[in-house]
Amino acid sequence: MIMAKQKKTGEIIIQIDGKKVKAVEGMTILQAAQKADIFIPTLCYHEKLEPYGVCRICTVEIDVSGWTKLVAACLYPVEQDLVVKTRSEKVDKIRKTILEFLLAHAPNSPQLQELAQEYGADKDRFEKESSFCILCGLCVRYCAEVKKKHAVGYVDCGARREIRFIPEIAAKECHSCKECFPLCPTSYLQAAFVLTQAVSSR
Amino acid sequence: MPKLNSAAELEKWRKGVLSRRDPDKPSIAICAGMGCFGHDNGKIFAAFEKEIDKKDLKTKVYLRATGCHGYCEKGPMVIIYPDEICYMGVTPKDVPEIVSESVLGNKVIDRLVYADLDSGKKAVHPSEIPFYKNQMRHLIGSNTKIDPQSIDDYLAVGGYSALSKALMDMSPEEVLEEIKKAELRGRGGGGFPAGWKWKTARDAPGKEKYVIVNAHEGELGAFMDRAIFTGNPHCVLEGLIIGAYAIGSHQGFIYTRHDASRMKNNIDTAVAKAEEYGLLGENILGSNFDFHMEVHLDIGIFVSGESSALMRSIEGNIPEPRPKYIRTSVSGIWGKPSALNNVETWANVPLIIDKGAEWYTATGTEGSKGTKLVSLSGNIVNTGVAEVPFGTTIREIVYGIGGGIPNGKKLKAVHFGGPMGGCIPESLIDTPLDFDELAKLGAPIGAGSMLVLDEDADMVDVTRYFLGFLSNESCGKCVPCREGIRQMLKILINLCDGKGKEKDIELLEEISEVTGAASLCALGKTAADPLLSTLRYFRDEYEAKIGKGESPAEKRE
Amino acid sequence: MTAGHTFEPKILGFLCNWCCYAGADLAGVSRFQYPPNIRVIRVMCSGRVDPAHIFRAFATGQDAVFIGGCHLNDCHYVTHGNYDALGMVYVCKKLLEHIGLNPERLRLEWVSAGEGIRFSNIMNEIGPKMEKLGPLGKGEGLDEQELKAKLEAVTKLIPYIKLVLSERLRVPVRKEEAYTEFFTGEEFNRLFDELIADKLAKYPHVSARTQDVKKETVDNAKIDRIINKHKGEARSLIQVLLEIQKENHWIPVEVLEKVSKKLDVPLSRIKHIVTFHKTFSLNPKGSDE
Repeated sequence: MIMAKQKKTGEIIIQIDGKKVKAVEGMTILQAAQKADIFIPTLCYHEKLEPYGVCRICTVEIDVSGWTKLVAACLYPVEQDLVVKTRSEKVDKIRKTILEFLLAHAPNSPQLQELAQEYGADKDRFEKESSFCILCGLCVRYCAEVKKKHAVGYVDCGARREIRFIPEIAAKECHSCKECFPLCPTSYLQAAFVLTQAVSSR
Repeated sequence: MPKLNSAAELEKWRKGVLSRRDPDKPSIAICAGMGCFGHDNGKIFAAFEKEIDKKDLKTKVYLRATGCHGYCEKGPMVIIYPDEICYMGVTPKDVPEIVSESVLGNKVIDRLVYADLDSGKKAVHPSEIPFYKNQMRHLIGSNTKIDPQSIDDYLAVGGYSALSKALMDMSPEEVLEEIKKAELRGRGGGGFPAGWKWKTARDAPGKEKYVIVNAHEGELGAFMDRAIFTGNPHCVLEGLIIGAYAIGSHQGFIYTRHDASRMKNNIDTAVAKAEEYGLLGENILGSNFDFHMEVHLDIGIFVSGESSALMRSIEGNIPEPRPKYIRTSVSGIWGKPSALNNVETWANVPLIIDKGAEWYTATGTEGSKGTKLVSLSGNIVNTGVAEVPFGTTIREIVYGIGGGIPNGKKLKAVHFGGPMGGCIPESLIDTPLDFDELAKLGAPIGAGSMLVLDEDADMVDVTRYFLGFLSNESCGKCVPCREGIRQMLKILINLCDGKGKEKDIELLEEISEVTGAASLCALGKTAADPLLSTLRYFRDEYEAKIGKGESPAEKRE
Repeated sequence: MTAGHTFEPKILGFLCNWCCYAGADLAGVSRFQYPPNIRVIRVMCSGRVDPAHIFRAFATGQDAVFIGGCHLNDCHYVTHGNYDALGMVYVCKKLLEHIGLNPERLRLEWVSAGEGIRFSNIMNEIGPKMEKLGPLGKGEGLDEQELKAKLEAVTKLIPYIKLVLSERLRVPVRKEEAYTEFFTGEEFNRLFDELIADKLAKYPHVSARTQDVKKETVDNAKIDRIINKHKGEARSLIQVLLEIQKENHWIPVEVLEKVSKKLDVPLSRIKHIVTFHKTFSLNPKGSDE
């Protein structure tokens, strides 16, 4: 995808929150920040997986040739003289609202609750939704990229998007694996798994 | 049919086609566009065939099912050449009379021609009919003379001479330079300068490059791409091959809808015929330039019209967009540089190469050159596809071409850009049609669909409709779009049902800020644009719905 | 019991060791009479009772289930297990109602160790009430097979229901008013419908369903032809699926699996594509659509 093999090991200096940070060409802002011990919150990021950029909570403000833009830190590639701000009024507002969207689905998720405290997100802002999956995709991507079994995948689109296990594959592979379970920030993955078992048992 | 191996052979063939055609022989052009198709124009065609057979006129008359004539409101349309008599609302019963009076005879059948709604004044020729005479039909004008299944028809109107000129007389850099000078901007909604996109693709590293025609046309209310592509597929093909030559690409893709079977049929025929004639494939016209085409169908979802989602779909993956931090013209299909443009953009290319950038830039405004196809629909007298130069005011389009608002109603607003656009209120309709001018007012031109709304339209309901559409067609990958649209739609439905609460408007504005700033692709980023636009100009309608449920429009009834 | 009456309801009771069981014992020692239809199982806490126990009881012929625990806020354990029992019973009652059984068949009461009289009063009340309701299923007009199938479906879904209960149907405050407010509220009804009732409807009598669906014979040759036309290339996946849908009007699961194998594409990707938009149909359509 975007961060392919590093063709040149050109060193780049970027600025994050006023601090000069050394980065390497091919890195993303998030990788550079983590290397410099600067915290940027994430929900759908995992170091073993290709960055997905869907939770958008890692949104940061960047200054490039005089233009200010809001981009996802886990996907945006570093470039020389990039200026990054990990907190600002706009960024904080975005993170707070995203958290409130997700808390309407999974108010009891520990990861969400921890971030909610930091950004002042109110879990009762929006009406509670029934589905408690936040669609971070960690389970799907882990099974596809690390285990290469593709036992769990997406179905449908838009607001009806869901994760579901493929019964035929799950029946064979999941019992001895379940490595995706601890990745799930809610317990929806487990719920989806037992649901699949209920459906496929004849 | 032996392949044409040089520009000279092409011209010779063209001369031969023209010489075999008698310009004085009567020619019947039956509109086979989608609108007329819905009015059973097939039966009219069959009726003409029968009548021609009966009167033994097969060799004395040309009969064609052509592309869309544009005047969808008045379909089924039939034009009799060489006198250019336009008949409207034709039924199979009228056919024998048309043949005897206007084909064999020289008479005009009064009841079938255009009549002004108020004065009753008749108009027979396009140069007299307001809908046509106020247009500048550079692109769609040839539709009435071309049977999309025939490549010779296209050659007869001068087709493929631009390709010949580009391949033989110009270098790829010169072609690119000409497009840049013409300031051709993307017609699909982005308005991005095509020349720059092509240059980026050309300069990007790698030998394998792709060019793509985006014929998805998902925007609600837009049906002009279909009119051009179904009616004159060769002009788009020609533009694509010229573009490929300029960029250095040897593989092209046409991405179109799986449910538009006639368009696909016409495209397949056009590609096959072009290959047969040597205008596509190996060593085109003996120029040493190779170019191949593939036609791909979509799954049916709106988001697959987004350029990066479209490229995923061509790869065989699910059509989900990706953030464009690295442009698709640098890394597109399978990571290769891919130049994607809209049907209408490609259709402009042969025109620019043929007549030159100087001629092209003489039309239009400072920031928007050339003509634009617009599709008129909604509360308007004349629905259909029209072509106007940039700079034409919205008033001129709605009243001069569109014929105004039916049933004596007043115009309220014109909505551009479908679910990702905005509206221009009546007070601002002297704004010229221009990418930047309209964008400044919060109503980017989009693909050119113009949804005309009269005084009875409920703007909150219109916004709810668009958001409802997007909530079904969003891919659902990223949180701001999926959840943002979900929550905004809930609030709008409550407002429409009279259950609006205090602070609903503020909440809508806040959500739209986040959706606009943090979404992954353009669908999410512009999902709230109709909302913001209607709030900008019709805020009172929203405020009236807080706790009440009636719009000012309903109150007036 | 009225003379000539033949139906004797079978009631299974789960009594918590510390309060209710002791209360029942006291009732016995004090010779407070109550009908002998109840069989008792002693649990350490009412919170231990699982929906699986309740539905197993119903599936094995019980007409009613009684759960007895300590009074709220008096639970022997610091975890206040009786609140868990409360939440669980609200959900189970709704489930019973949903499948057509009278929710009164499940009863939850708080009885302390010294309330022998209260226990026998409750039992004296339940017995006749259950007599009136009639045997499980028959009393509500459900036939035996239908009842069996419905109970089976619910039982299969229980691991899922428990996760939903613990994740989404949680009440943050251990107060009776909070529980009452939540479980009688609109939000609970909505969540129940969307999370549980919806799933029950989609995967109902699983065993019954497979008998209903006619085994449509798939024209394998036609499918092979389409795949080969596109040279079995993974990149033509969408075109292949579109053609199969067009020719066959629907795509059976076996065909999805076949395409997955032949094009070497993960089944999960194919499933996503065919559910992405209503263009594809995974169920056979009528013949004149």
